[in-house]
Amino acid sequence: MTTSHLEPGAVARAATGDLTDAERNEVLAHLEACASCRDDVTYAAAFERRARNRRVLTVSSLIAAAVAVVALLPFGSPSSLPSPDSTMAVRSGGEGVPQVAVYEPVSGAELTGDTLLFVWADMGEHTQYRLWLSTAGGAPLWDQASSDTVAYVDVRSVLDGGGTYLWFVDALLADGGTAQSKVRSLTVRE
Amino acid sequence: MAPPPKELGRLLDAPSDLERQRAWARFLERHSKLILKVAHETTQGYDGAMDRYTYVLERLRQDDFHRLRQFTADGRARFTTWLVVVVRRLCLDHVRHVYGRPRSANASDEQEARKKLVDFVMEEIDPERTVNHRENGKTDSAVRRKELFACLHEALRALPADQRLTLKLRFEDEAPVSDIAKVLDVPTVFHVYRRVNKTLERLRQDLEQRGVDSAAP
Repeated sequence: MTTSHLEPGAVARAATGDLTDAERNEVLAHLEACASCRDDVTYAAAFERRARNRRVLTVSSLIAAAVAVVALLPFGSPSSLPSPDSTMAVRSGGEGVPQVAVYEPVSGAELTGDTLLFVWADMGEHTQYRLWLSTAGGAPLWDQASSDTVAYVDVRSVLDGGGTYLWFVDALLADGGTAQSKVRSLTVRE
Repeated sequence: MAPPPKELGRLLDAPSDLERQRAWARFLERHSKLILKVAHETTQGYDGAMDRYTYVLERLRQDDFHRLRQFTADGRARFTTWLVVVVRRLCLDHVRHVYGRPRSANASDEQEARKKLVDFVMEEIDPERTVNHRENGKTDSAVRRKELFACLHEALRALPADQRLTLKLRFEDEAPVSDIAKVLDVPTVFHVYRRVNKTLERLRQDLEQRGVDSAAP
């Protein structure tokens, strides 16, 4: 540790979640007090995250290419691919398309209250997200664009009262690619 | 933790000047992209980035690669992450060297962050109180806001350091929650949100005990 700023090694370990038990309290206490080191840590963490996402997208692209070749070879017909007009009920996230992991609410959750909280995985810097909500039958009800990975939805103004709804998240990635979550259901109790 | 990369070992242990030059070239082949990326992100314009890149390379070579030798002495961090930190600090040094220290925007940044925190903590506003305060004029608003911020400052000081850090990362630095999860070493972003919500609830209760039950100035 340094008397004025953290050593680069400590900053790097904080950014990747690799602090040792022995140093954690001291490093976190320093970060709380030192905006400059906090900037270093958040910058390094973001840099590593983007590098990880690029590796994931590269692997996903390779898998998508391989799957497309295998899937299309015996059939070869464009009509076997999902229709762009598919309703939400048949939307599946697409084979080979990078998937957005969703955290809240869990699939099939039963919820009460005036506000619903949706949380999903960060797909990298400059990613734009769109959260979609539909009826159980798949008719779109509401959608919202965001650059954040959290959305609060007001139940009274958006939904048609209690019942089961479907939802998913679309992501437009910084490199122009897309990612999707699977369609999930939730039930709102009045 | 992974051992130091081979190109670093070859560079630092090179037996002759010629070997050192070759090893340096190989090191740059491997890591130039990272250095350039950081240089670009700390400046605008191609020329500025190249100036910064050149400065970083000079500094890395200085005193027989003294800075790079610090990694092997430490050795517990991931090398690319460590290099990002070192390069970024060198780029910021270069900015200060060329342009002098920037004027601090800390006061206004901090006030903006406090305002966001107030909004989150006191999300339920009593409309009747809001109307009454507006009718009393702007002077009361300014006094009330000052009192509110003072109470918030005291309430924040009473929090444990790790909870203060969570709020600073979220509201002052506006770091993505996935990065906050890494720094705090929690398994998922959901744990970060839980921690934030729990801390905000604690702040809310503390502020209520101090007689603050509305964010309306």
